[in-house]
Amino acid sequence: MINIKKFLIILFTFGMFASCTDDLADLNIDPNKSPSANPAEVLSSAQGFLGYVIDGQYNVRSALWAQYWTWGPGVAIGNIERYVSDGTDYDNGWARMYSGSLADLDFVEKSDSKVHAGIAKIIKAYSFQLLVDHFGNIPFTEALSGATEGNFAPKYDNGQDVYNALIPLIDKGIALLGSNGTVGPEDFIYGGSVANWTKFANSLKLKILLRQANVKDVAAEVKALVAGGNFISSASDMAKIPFAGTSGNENPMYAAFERSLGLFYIASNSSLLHLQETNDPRLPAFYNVSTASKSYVGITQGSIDNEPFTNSKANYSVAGSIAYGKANDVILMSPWEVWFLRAEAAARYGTADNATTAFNSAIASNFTYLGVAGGDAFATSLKFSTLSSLKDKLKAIGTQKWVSMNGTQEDESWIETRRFNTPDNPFFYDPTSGLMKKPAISVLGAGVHPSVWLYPQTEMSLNSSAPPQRTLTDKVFWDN
Amino acid sequence: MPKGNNGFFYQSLAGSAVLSDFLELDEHGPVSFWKFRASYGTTGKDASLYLLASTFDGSPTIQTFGNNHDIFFPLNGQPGFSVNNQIGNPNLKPELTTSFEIGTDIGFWDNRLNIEYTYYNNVHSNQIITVNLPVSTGYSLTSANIGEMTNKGHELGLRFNPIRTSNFTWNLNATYSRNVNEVVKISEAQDELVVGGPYTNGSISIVAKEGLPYGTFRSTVPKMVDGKMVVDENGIPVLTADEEYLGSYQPKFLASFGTNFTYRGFRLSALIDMKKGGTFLSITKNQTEFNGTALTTLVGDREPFVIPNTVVEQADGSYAENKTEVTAQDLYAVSDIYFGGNSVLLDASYIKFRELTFGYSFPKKLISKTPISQLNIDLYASNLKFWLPSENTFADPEINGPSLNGNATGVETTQTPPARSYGIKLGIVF
Repeated sequence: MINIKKFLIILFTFGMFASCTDDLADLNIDPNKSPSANPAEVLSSAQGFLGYVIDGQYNVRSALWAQYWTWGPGVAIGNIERYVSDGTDYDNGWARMYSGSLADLDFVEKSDSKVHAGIAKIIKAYSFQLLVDHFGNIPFTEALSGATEGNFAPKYDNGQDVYNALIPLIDKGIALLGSNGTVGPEDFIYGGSVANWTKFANSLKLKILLRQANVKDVAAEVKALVAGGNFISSASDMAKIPFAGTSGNENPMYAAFERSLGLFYIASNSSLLHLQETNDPRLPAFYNVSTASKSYVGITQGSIDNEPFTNSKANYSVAGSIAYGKANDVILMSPWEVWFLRAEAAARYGTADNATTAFNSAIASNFTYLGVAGGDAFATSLKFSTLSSLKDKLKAIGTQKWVSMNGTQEDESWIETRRFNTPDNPFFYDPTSGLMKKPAISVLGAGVHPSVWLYPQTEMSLNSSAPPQRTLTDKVFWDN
Repeated sequence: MPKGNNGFFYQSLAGSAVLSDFLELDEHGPVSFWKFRASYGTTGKDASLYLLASTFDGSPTIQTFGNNHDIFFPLNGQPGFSVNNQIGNPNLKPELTTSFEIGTDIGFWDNRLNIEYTYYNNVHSNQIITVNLPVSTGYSLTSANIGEMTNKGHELGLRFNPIRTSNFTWNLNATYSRNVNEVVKISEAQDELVVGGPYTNGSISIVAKEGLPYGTFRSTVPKMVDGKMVVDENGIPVLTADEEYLGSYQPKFLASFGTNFTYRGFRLSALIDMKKGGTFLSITKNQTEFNGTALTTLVGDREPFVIPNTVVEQADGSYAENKTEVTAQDLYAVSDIYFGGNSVLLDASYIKFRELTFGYSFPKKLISKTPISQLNIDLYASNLKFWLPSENTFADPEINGPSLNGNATGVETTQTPPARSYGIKLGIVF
């Protein structure tokens, strides 16, 4: 009755899969993805990413926040100048720093090539200082640990704790610089010159110490460091990353603007008027005359909406070639920066340096770099030697440092305006007399300017250890 | 696959019984055909080589700017190798899917009505997915196994053939399917992985979270107190500190309906599709609101207004009625806050009239003296009409944007919407 064959048809299938043997794995290699790399080429990569972050991210924003430039005609005014921000604005710079530059430096630091490792440690210290100066508390002790420890939520370290770890890191780097082995053109910054890296390391230590001058007693350490000498002092030992200007190798700030409309920022009156009032001979190097009127015309910070709407870029002064060009270098540390640090150290702590000599050398080295004559004479005319109070000396140093970094180190200048502006000496942010003006469209109060970058959105969303988001007016630990 | 994890078995077992034969039912009776089927099996999949080991990128791109302004290696004539942003996971396990399926096919009245029904329960063990990392780890991506994920569901198909004569036929068919997906377990150490995002200023991420469907959206939302939205001293909504889970792209059910008539040489057919439930992220809404071109930005007629039903926190921690006016521009362009990430998550439901075709085949007699063996003419229209939820005036919920990581779905990134098209098709066969 029952037809078994029709009733049930059973299928069995068995399979087995065993994946690649070693031989097969070797065949599967993508030529653009190498399983290994040598430290020289990874060091180049790290420096390339760092150059982009400093110039394509930090300097672009700080050119507005340090009030060298302001929004010009023809482009809807943006949030940077309104002091409006959200975390997504900071994702790119953070990513290029951590997974671009620092991940590469971490590899070089752990490699067998000790000289390369020494350089990597010093650049790492430089980079982490920049991160603290922008973000405050940052992942440091647990950062970059994804590969080795599988820690996918690095904790945030206090900015002060990060700073405390930087000088020992630099010292380890200096110790390795003397190891056997050579570094050559893969080192864009110094072409492998150990002597120059030592100067950079000492200058960086001075920068790190003085940054804490308002919150920590660093007198003894600064005096000992200055007594040892050996700092960046001239154009020949200036720390910079060149960008050849050819396709693919354009200066990062230039590329960031040229990708769309070109440079649409105009000279800010905060800087332009100050240069005119002080008869500073560097004005023609920092800004071009307006092509329409052949004179210097700036715009008051953040007030393009108040200008005649028929005006175009041609009616105004824009950045000179020293500030904006396809083959411009990205400066990591300049001789004027270091001379200003030495002048400040001498003024504060009475170091082995003469404060006036250092102050004048700073200005003269900036004139030399800009190709402007009369640096010594202009420096002397400022009569730094006649200043008696520390407050006046710091105001003179802070002001000239801000002027000298126009077009070359916008971001370092923004960081230093925050530090030099103190409650008892508010010469940058005072609502009436300060050098920094409230942008007409600022959403912040009078005399209130951004003092920190927000945490990147990716970090807020992906790192369960990230602190809550904060506002642009929060301060990093050394700022008061 | 890593050694030790690089071999696995898979097998399957399937069976079916034609009950109508077993019960010796009359082929032309009320129940003309009845089959019962069941299957059980496992299949495996391994990870590709680069998911296991970390690598270096040769000649890395430093920054993509477009317009011939990208910055990349070689830089100043020097080559570069950068640590790849995807970190390998040497502990990756092969993924295994165990599927169980049971179903029946029944035909009534000489197969004029056919019903197919299937229930399935698939358990995916160690599914391999791409996971986003915070870049402070030095990396932005890795791969991981989701410990266990299940897909359970029903599928129902109907075919009905009410008229079947030599000149005239009429067919109707309909399908319905419902799938319930759940991430059961990720690992001992974690209960959540971010598989996409964050997207937009609203900071929306896509996650795999235990107990929720794969691809659930997560975002901050406006802070509410006693049913009222909290705003700050500028009148702009305050967002919650913690992110909330806001649904996934996965629908409640899918359905379709089709019909066709033929009468002598004439043919008429139609197809309607439907999806109910699910959520998608509309970057079009986000961007048109920022630009001020979305209708939603007409709130307050572009004049300053107080957002209705809002409160503001007082110095003592209590809440008072908000009286601060804002403009649409403050809300949508200046604040960058909008109304939280949930405001750009839209209902992904739709009903789509996909296709209507009317055709005619010329009788063979008419063309027998020509070299042509077949001559057809069809008028067709596709994408005739979409019915979308009233909140979705922005985008086609079916479109997925490019550059989504791994398996993350449900993000529309301003793609061109599908066009309605009409046409005439002439078919000639020689």
